[in-house]
Order: sequence, then C-alpha cells, then structure tokens
Amino acid sequence: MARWIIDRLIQTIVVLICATVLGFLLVRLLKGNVLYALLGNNYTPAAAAHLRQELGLNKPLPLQYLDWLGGAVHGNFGTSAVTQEPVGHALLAALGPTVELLIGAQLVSLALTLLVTAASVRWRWTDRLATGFALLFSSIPPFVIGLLMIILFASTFHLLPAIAWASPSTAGWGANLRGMIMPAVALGVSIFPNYMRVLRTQVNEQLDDEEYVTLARMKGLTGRRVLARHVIPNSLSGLVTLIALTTGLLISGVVIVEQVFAIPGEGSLVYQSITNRDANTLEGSILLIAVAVVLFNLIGDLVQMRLDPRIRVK
Amino acid sequence: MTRLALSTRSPDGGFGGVALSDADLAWVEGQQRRTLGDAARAGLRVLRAPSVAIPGAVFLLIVIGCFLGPQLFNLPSPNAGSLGDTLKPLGTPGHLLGTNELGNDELSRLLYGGRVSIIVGIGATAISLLVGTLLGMSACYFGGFYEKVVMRLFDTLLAFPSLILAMTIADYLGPSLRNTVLAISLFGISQFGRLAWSQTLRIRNRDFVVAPRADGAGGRRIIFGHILPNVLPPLFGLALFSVSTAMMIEAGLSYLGLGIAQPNPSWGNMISDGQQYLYNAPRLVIIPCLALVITVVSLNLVADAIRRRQEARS
Repeated sequence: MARWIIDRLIQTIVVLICATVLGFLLVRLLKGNVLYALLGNNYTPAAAAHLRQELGLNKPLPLQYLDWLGGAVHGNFGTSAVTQEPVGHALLAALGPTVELLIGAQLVSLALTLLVTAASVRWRWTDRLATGFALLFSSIPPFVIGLLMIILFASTFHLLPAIAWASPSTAGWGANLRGMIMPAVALGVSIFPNYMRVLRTQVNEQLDDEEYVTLARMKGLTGRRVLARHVIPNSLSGLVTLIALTTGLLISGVVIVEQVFAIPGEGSLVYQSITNRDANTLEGSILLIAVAVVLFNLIGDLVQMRLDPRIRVK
Repeated sequence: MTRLALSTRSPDGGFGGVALSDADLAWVEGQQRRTLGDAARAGLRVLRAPSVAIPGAVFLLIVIGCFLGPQLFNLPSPNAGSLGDTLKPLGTPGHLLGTNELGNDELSRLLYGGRVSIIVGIGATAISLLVGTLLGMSACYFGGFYEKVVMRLFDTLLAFPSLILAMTIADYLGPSLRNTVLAISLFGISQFGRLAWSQTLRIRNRDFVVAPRADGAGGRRIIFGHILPNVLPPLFGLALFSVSTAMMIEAGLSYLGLGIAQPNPSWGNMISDGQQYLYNAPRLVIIPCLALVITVVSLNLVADAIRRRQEARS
C-alpha cells in the first residue's frame, strides 16, 4: 500500500511538471510583447533592453523555467505585468468565488441526482423522463444554460438578478448567495446527467442482482428503508469517484460561466491573463488548476478504494 | 473460415458434427476476429435501427440545410446588411428570422455559422481520431519506452483543463477556422489514444494478431489489417460523442472571442454579440442557442443509441 502511494506520488509529480512545462511553453508562445505593456509611453529600445534584462527575459528558456520553478516552490509566483501585484495575491483573491461556485454546482447536481434517482426507482415513468432530460442537459453547454436562465429569470420574470456577484465581506452572505444561484444551477445541471447515469446504473444493479436486497425485503423492510439504508450507501462508491473527477472537468465550464455572470474567479483570471498576455498570472493559475485536478483525481481514487473493499491494492 | 464453421453449429454446441464443450466454444469465439469488411457491414447494420436513424436524419438535415440552404433559399450574404435594417423582428419579409444589430440577416448568419460549427466538430474529431488512434495502437503494440512516453503525454494532456489549452492555443495561433480546429483536436487526441491503447491491450496477445508474423507481416500490416478492425467499434462511439463535444467547445471559444473572428458568423460569437441585447431582443441569443442545442442533442442521441446497441450485444 505504501509502495502504491509512493508510486502514485511520483506519477503525480511527473504529470505536474509536464503540465507546468506545457503551460510555460504556451505562455511564452503568446504573441504580444509584455514590454510594451509595461513601459507604455516610455518605450524606447534602450529602456526595453534594460527591462528585458531586469525581468530575466533574455535568459535561455529552460533557465527561465527553472527560475520560475524555484520561485513557485517557495510560493513566489512573480508579479503580474498588468496589475503590478504579486500573482499569489491575485490567485488567492480569485480562489474564493470559484470554490464557492464549484461547491454550489456540486451540491445542486447531487441534490438533483438523489431526488431524481429516488423518484425513478419508485415510479417507472420518472425514470424515462429523467433519462430524456439527462440526455438533453448533457448536450447543452453550461454557458448556454446560464444565458437561457438569465433570459428566463432575470429578463422575463425579474426574479433573480443577472449580473449580481457580491463579495460576502462587503455585501453580506444574502446578496452573495442570491447572485450565485443561477451560475451554480447552470453548472450543476450540466454535470448532473453524468452523476445520474452512474448512480442509476449502480442502484439498478444493486436492486436486481444483490441478495441482500431480497433479504432486507424478506425481513420486512419497506421500499424506502431498503433504498436509503442499504442500496444507496453501496451505490455511492462509483459516484464519489465521479464527483472527484468531475471537479476537474468543471473547471473548464467555470471559465465560461464566470464570463457570462461576471464573477471574478479563477476562470476570469485565466481568461484575462490570456487576453492581456499576462504570462506570470497565466503560469501561476495553470499550476493551481493542474494541482487541483490531479489532487482531486488522487482523492477520488483513494476514496473509492476506501469505500469499496473489492478494489483494494494488494 | 472460422465464420462458416461456427455458423453450421449444431444445437448441442458443436460444429459440423464435432461436439465442443462450452469452454472450448468460448475460447473459439474469443479468438474470433473481425476484418475490415465485417466492421463496415456491422456499421451499416447499425444505421438501420430507428433509434439511430431518426436523430441521425435530423442531424443530416441540419448539415444539408447549413451547406445547401443559403443557395437554395437565395439568402442574402451573412455580412451584407445595412444599418438601416437594424434589429428587425421575426417574420419580416425577406428576413425570416429578423436581423441583428448591424442589419445582417439572422437566418443566413445561422446557416453559415452552422457550417463553421459542423466543420470544426467533424474536422477536430477526425484529426484527434487519426492521430490518437495511431499513437495509442502503436504505443501498445510496440511497447517499451515509446509506450511509456506516449502514455505520459496522454496523461498530461488529460490533466490539463481542455478549455484552457484550447484557449491559449487559439489565442496564440490567432482566431481562424483552421486554428480553432487544431486547438480543439489536441484534447481529443489523448482521449482516443487511451481508448485505442486499452483496446489494443485487450487483443495484442491473441492468435490472430501474433500469427501473421509467421507470414512475414510487419508491424504496419498487423496494426492496420488485424488490430484496427477489432478496436474500431468503441472508437466509433467515442468519435460521435467527440463531434458534439467539439462543437460545444467551439461555441464556447467563439463566445469568449477566441474562436471564429468577426465578421464571420459562428453560433458562439452570435451568442456573445446578442448578449448585449438580451433584454430587448432575446431572440438574438435564443436562436443560435436553440440551433446549437438541437444539433448537439441529435448527435448525442445517435451516439447514445449506438452505444446502447453495442452494450446490448456484448
């Protein structure tokens, strides 16, 4: 077991290094001269050459990467060329809204999944309806769902504010949650089909094949009891892994949804750093996202091994 | 030869008068191989089922409409409007779906945008299918260090959030049709590669793969003639899902301004343009959203139906 963990850790580090190297290359490829952005009206070739040397841009690429890596290991990601602030601060500030959005989306989709699965086990027609809806929602990109929700709830019915991100520290949690409802639902609805598919398959397998269900019924447990107490806990292992893996996928969706709803999170940060040619911020956020994705995959695997004794490593 | 022998199986499980035990029969069937002709015939058979044919027909209709529609219906050019015609409502004579803020005909822009989306979807999938399958099959067949390197490459590409990769590459290469196709295909390569790898792993020690070496068949002949027809079915299912995913990613990229550039229409940038008029002319957003949803849903229905048939048969 310890051997497996070490193995896995080495793999993780290798993948992280490859991802950051890839990000580094991509960032260096971005056209557009950061020197123009920094010097503005004071641009002269001499000043540019001086700044270039100061920033270390005239060193060979591998050396630049190692410099950056050395700094990153200590938590120093450099300074953003655009805002002149340390990248670490920007990353930390943007982390809050994104984490809130991710948690909200997962909660929404889990709630939907459990509700729909419970209903569809009880009534057959709900099952078919739910499968149809699941297919529909998995075909709609989350930003389209978000926009349609804005049209429906904000423009037509004036129920919820459209662009309403409010920081909890300045405007209180009420306003913050009110602004988060639509983006969280948009994201949650887009990933709920995956969860439903997995949970539904597991539950059906349990109900059809497993003997303990028959035993429970023979003991006199009613349907709901059987479901809640025995079937669902046993079906959760696949779902939990999926939750961990989907968080990685959600990050892609978060980028666009944050643009639609104007939320200042990691996604917006990445988008702005790409369009502003802000190399340091992009590199830092790529590292953060890669670490998050890899970490969640690892957690997913570990949790699955814990929950399902049949998958233990010998 | 093997096919004929099995088809004259007698009811007790033997063939041609020879009684085979269940284990022997299972072994023979496990060695059964498909040729390219088999794969093609199976593909055509699948297309006849109504659950595949109906959404498939819808999708084909959309494709034909996008590519032949503008000529057939004598629609004005998508960028030929004048500001005098700005924001005309639905059903205006001459502009069936109204006009956008610059006076361009919405229907024409919709169909031309559809061309772009479909080309990107199919093109990106084709590239990732070709490159990914080749890499995955050859990595598994030749093994060794080559296989390790290729698998690490796939893992890195998968750990990297696909959208960010696509965004950076699209921004670096500049917004254009060809560059969008290239950027989106990168993520699919690792998906197809891993699937091809796992499928090749399943069959690389079977007799029909190992035996041709005695005939003097080289690696290329074995991979294309013997391994490829047998790994094709799941790859084909993934390819269909991949087309719809590529279309959604393209819509997202164009929405962010990193995909197809103005003034060329694409469903994504039509949505982002229409967003400013969300309150007074929501049809500018709803129409391209609906088009995207219908196309992606029909594709997903086809892919889902094919996957179900494959699962039912295996």
